[in-house]
Amino acid sequence: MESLPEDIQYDILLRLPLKTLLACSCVCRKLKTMICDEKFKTRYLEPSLLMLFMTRDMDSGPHWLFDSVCTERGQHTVSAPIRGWICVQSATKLRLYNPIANKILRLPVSLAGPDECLFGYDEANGVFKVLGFFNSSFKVYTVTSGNGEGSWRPIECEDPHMYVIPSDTNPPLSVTNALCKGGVLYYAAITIPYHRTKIMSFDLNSEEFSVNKLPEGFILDDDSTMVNYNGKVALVNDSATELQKTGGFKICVRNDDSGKWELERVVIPDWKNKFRPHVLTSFVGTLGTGELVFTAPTSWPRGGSEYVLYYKTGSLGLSGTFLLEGEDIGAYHSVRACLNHFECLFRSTT
Amino acid sequence: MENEKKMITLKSSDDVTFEVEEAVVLESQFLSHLVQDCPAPEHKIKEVTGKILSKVVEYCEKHVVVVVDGGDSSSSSGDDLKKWDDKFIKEMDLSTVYDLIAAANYLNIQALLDLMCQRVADVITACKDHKEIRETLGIVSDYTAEEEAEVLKENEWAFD
Repeated sequence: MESLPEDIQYDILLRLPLKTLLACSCVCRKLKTMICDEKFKTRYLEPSLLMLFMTRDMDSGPHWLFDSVCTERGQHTVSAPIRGWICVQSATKLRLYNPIANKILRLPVSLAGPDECLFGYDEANGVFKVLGFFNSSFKVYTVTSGNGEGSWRPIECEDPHMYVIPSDTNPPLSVTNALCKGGVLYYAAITIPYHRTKIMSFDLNSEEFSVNKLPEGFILDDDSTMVNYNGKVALVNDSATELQKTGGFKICVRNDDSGKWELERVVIPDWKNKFRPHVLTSFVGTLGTGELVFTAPTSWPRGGSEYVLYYKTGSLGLSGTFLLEGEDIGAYHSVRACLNHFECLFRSTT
Repeated sequence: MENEKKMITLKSSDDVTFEVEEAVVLESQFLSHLVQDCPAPEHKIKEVTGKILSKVVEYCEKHVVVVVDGGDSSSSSGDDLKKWDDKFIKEMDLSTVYDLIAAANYLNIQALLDLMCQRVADVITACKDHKEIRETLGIVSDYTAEEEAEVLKENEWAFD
């Protein structure tokens, strides 16, 4: 194999399953260097950005498909997966998990916070970063492969805002979830002092905040959800009710070129006939393969069957359903589908 | 009713000749350009031996889509072709596969290149550990004992 041109050697490595790839890195230095190359990793991971991943919460405490990494009880906030990693925050701990590689990185927390964290990937520098909300100030933590090394760096923001809705709920509620796309974190914020909602973006490379202007006619409130729509950042507001009534939903999509948010409408042909109309089902995002994905809202009552629906754009109807089976589904009071998780076996975050 | 078929002769580096239909040659991007630019009846391919060129020709002849009168495609159906591909690669040792990869790369026959690269990937995947991969690929480790222990430890969870 060594006699082959290098691009063909890479082509062969790209075809290997992850475990074989790692065995190859033990074969000789040359192969290890090739496999650990950043460009190769990126190419290897790209096509796998398709998987659907689910986390579940149980009444008695957190319980996930990868529950071996979390044994403590209490309220946890789980981020959307990024490059195989998730960020899990509890009252006293902040950790990054790679559930497939069974790797944990602990991040420093103190009484001062952070109160909330948003997890993102800085594509320009190839590092994970966490944006922390400390009372009314902001700090950034750059993730290194070591445990608890590094520190929170304060950053300036000209638009004072909060991430969670001021209330006594536990866990604290945010207006929407956050989404990281192209090295930028997008999230809904509440302005200080007027308590209005707006969409903020945080560039993980320049570490600057911007305010996003939403088009008139889109209501941003706690029924809104941030989704990946065909590779773009988008917002929907209570798509479940709208789908039930009209078989379609309104979506506010950020145009990557202009940076403007534009309203569109997505119609799912035959939604009412194909699907039980009495069940509320929300749009949760687009998969890497282009299918639109729908799930029951997280507050689905106990004992119901859990499902995920796919719809391929341009096809005549819902292309398939995926039912969560085999376990006592009734034990979980909520199920959350996280899109675009993939099995990242690289143990290092860099 | 059969159309007149244009025949082209390919000559390997060791002067083995193969007479093939033009359609077969068109499976290779490189040869299509060559035949277009230089309409000679015989083409010498200095980079490929007779042994390998015979395999290339065998593959291309099987995969060529022959359009008969009426426009129906009479190429082998997908399943049959896949079975044929499987048999084709199973009879080959790895060094022939490498030579075919080099030839397919040079002649620019993407489907053959894909098939052969997948074959190497499958052979590696079938190995149970790094030692077997070394043996199969004929690679001598350049790790010191300490380095090897370290790299194995780093990846040990991949071997359970």
